[in-house]
Amino acid sequence: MMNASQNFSEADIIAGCLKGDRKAQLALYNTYSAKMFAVCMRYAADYSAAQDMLQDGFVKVYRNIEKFRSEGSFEGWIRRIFVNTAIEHYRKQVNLYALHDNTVAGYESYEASALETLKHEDLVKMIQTLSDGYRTVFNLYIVEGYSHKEIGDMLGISEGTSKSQLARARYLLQKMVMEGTDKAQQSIRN
Amino acid sequence: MDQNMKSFDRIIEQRMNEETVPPPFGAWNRIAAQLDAMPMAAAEPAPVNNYIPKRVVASFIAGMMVMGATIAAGFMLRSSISDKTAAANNGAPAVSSFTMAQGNTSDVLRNPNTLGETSPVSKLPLYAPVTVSKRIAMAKPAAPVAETSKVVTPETKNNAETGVNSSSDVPTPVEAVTLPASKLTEPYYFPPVDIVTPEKSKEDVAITRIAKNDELAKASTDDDRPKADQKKFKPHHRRPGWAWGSINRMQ
Repeated sequence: MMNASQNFSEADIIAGCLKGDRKAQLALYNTYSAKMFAVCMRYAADYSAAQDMLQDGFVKVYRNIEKFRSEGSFEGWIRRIFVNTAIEHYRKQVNLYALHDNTVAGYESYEASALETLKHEDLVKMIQTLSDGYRTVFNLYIVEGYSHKEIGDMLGISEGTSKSQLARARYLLQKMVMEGTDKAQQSIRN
Repeated sequence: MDQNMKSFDRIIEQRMNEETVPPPFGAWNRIAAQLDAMPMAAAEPAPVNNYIPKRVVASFIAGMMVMGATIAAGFMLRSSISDKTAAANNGAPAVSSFTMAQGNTSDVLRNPNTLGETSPVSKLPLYAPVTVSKRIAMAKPAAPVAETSKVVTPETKNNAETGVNSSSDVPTPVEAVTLPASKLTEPYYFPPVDIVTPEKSKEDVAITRIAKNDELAKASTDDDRPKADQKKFKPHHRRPGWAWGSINRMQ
């Protein structure tokens, strides 16, 4: 199954998917499924939600592949589809309200070294524990690189709300990182 | 604190973009099943970006138009020069009008009967009316017309020296009939056909045919002779009693 993607180039995959060739579609899935599932895991609240997001995302990719223009990266185009799919999953559920204090400071005892030693799976789990709104804004701003104005247009919120949500998400995540590091150190000692 | 925040953001971005998570087992089967369940949309390929720019197309069309206009102008100039050359040779003013059907304008001659008019005559150099000064020059190509009036038969050919036609047909002149010059100049001139003289009798035709058949019978006895030769002289698709008539031209 994994060998199917090795014989296909990106152009061949696109051409095959345009024709509806199942082999080309499988090759596309094998090439980009791992990266896109990582994206889905960051946006989803749990593993099952990430699975649904992955399935819907790839179906959208296959249905809209004729809209791809050879102007940018094909991976970037697929990534945007998955991000939009993730946003659609939580658009109805997300209730984002502006915080009173838009300039929430970071966690006081945060250390960057603690984040570097943290495993990827643990970091993803920490992100998943955030609320939907915090998590979405956090991913869109820090990982995807959207501006607050763009996030506001995508989610239907103001820039101020986006900033406050980000600040809150950052604080909580840093706190979890440090608390997780402390617990890990305590377990090692014990 | 800001530096701390920036480093935190940078590390998060780097870790999230580099790491991959293997998809769950069976995810592809679910995706394929969903694709099969959904009606296949008509996937039209996206327009390719490597289209020819509009300005290139426009410049190409403009260049072709310029070339066409240049060729047409050159053709018309050439035709006008040819008109002037032909008119200078004929001693008459050049023909002003021009049509594509006339082709080479040197063949266009003016009708002497309508001297002064500028309308050209259609292209028929042998039979077109010419000026008086050209009659002598044009008589030479018309000579074959007079010569063809001579009836060339084997009998007449043999008696060319004696001048006597010994055949049973109506005596015909051996010498070439010299037609009047006026008739040479007239267009579409054909000498009248003598319809009074009866055709060759059927007996003569039968005798001729029988003679030919005798020849064939002699040839068939020869085993070395190939069959293809017999087919040459074997008459077929001919009605009995039919033969080529003879045309006796009047003096």
